[in-house]
Amino acid sequence: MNRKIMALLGWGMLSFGSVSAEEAVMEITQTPSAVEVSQASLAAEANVASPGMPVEEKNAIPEKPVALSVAELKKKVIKLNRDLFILEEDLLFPANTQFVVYLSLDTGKFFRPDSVTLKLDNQIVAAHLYTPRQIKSLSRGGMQRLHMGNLKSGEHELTVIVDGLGPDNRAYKRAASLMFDKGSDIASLEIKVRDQSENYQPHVEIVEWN
Amino acid sequence: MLKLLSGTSVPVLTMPTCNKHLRKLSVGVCLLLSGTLVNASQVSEAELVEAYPVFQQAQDLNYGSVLYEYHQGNYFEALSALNVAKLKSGIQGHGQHPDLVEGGLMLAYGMIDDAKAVFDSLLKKQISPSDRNQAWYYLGKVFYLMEKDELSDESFKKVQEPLFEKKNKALYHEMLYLQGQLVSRDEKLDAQQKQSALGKLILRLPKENIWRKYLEYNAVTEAIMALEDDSTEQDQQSLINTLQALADSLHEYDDEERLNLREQSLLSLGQIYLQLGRDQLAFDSLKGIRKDGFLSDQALFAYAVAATNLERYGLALEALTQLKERPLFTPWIQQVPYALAYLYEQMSEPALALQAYRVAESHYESIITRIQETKQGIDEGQLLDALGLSNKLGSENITSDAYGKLSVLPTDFSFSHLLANESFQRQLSDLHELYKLEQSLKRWDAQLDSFETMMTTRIALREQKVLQTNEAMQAQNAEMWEFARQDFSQQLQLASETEDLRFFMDEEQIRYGKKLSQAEETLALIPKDHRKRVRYERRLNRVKAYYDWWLSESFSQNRWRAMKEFRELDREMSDFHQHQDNLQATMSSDGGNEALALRVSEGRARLSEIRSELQGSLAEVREALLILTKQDYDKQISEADVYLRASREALARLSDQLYHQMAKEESSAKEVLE
Repeated sequence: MNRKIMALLGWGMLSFGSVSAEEAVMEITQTPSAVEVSQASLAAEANVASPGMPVEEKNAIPEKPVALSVAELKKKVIKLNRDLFILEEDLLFPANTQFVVYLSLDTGKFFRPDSVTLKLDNQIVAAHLYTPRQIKSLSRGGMQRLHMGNLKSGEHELTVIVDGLGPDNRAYKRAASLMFDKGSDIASLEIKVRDQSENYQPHVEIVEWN
Repeated sequence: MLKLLSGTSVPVLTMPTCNKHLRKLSVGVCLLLSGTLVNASQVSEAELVEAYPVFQQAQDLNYGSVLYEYHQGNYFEALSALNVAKLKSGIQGHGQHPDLVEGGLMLAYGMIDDAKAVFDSLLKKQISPSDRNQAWYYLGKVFYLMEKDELSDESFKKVQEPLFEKKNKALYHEMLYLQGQLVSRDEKLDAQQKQSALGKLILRLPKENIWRKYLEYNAVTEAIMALEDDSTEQDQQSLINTLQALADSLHEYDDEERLNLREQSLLSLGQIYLQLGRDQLAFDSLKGIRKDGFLSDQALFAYAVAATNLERYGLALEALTQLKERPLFTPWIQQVPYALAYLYEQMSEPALALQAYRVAESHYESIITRIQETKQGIDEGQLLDALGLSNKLGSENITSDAYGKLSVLPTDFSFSHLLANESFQRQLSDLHELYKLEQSLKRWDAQLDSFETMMTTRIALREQKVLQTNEAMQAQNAEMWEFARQDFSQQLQLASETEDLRFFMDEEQIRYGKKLSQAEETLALIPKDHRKRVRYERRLNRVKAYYDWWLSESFSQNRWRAMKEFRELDREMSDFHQHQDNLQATMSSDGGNEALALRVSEGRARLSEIRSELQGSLAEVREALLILTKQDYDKQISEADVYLRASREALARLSDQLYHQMAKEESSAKEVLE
């Protein structure tokens, strides 16, 4: 009986027939045996050409997998990406005028943001609709770079409006505003969406990073 | 009556290739595991992402951005962002965690050698025990993926388990699973040793943990494989009960991962029961498998066998008819037309069976022709269509697991077993990654175009500005002012040396002096014999004497004031010159434009070089994929050929049988008539 199980597991055969294996072989003499076919299958799996395969294809798969060269290529592209990102920033957003706004989400138990609108000096500069994947990423500590631009030195006002679902799945809208002074260095601001355990309400604030 | 047999030569099912995770199991077990294991790594993705270092509050904005991409599974973007952050100002406030994240990202992005280098270097540094644990764990995983099992095992053993379990529970659970895999792959262990080691690992995992379920499944199927001839029925039953208990324990869940594993367990049970001739139990097990899942083809076929064995021909016919309507390329349903004919034959319907064998023969003939034609004409586009990946490869819509494998649901299920092939999966992932890289290069190509335009505009604007500034500077006549200053300096020096009182007079003294001159002039006009003239002269002389005394008295003060003002003028002039020099320097330099333009052109050159390398790699991967696909077609042709010959043989046999029967009937009829 065990042998039977082994055979089933070993060759993966479920077959129809009221004759024994020997009779079947006798009956259909031209048919390759299970062992032969299975070996052919195994050979194919091992990237060895099966009997019916054209000769030129037998060794057509490169000896060395391209995975290594792909990994090298990935490394090169990442390095190029890095250099071009920095070049892009140097060109488009010089340090003395650069202004960046990030958004972070702390736990998100009482609030799940759906969208955000960012206004700078009363002009909309950014808007974003969140996917579940992005929300998950934010709640795991990720910070979204919501806006990057150039700004003259002096006093400015940043306003953020966050829409989403609050406690009991009710639609919630929260806003926060900050007057800030743009100096000659990069201005980085963070919009923090966090839970307020004191009143079980979401809270939005803008903080300046030095 | 239909009976299940092992070892018959007619309808032979092919064996889907084993997934890497359970490659250690023998081919037969791989058959049992096929389908489920394709998804095994998908679970790991969710758990791994959960397990990677997480900070609720990033201490560094750039690092926060890296984590934002990372937790979304955008490994390429996250690695790029991490590199930018490291090059710009480094990542502050996170210790060695960015290195751990970088290694983890490289691992997930298929840069295994680079990930190894990161963890090796990290382990040479002074790091916290928790970070060290993670680094050892990841290094173990790197070696596991490299199939360097001994090194993998050594690395896992260096993890301080109690601390690791406390701080990184999910990673700890995955480590136990990987250790289980290492045990199964270890050829030095015999079956009993493996079972014992696996059992210990299983007990250390929480009961409901998915890794535990996988290990349980692997352990039980491996134990079935290892059953000796002299093993008792009790041993068999005990293993079957374990498998049944596993399937039952997965019953309550509704997530796809656990559902697949449950169905896999049920299918294995069904197949084992069929082999044991316990058809009712097989039938009951197979009934629990969905008709639209990955395992439905195999399950339906086994179900048809069980129903036939139970003489429930109606159900068997229904199952086979369902299978018949599906695209006939999968190994599990390849045999259906033949099986259908055989079923009719067993139901003592020779005429129907004859017809069905004819249909089967013609079906296999046409299928062989069709496969041959498809094989000749297959290209990348068709392949991607069949895999349901057209217009998707290279896009963000396709997710990959923590082992870099794509989550693919083929539109043509005939490719499902090809997808289970590790080599095919790897090539497909590479193709996807290469397309993604191509997208990235295209984006930079467009960006560099705009940078070049921007630089040209910037240089032209600068030249214009320089011209305007030059004109404005010329209009200021700076040389004349410098000459005047020098002249005044000389006069001042001379007057100071000669103590020229009048030179340093203040405004009031000048005004007073002018009045005195006017008075003198007026006095000169008065006739000499005028009676008051003498008095006027005396008064004027008195005033002049006072005036001279006044000038003499205020000389020092006046000179000091004049010198002070001159010094201020000097300062102003110096500032003016400084400003002018600065402007000249700014105008003569290029304002950094040249350096930026150089960076743009260097970027362009690198881009072009990488693009050509990329095209080469793309061509290689495409070719490798098509070769694997064609090999698979060859296998399908060979399988179809087996059924074709079997159908022809059966057709001949049955025709012959019918002919003899008819002849016999005719002769009997004649005898009766006579």
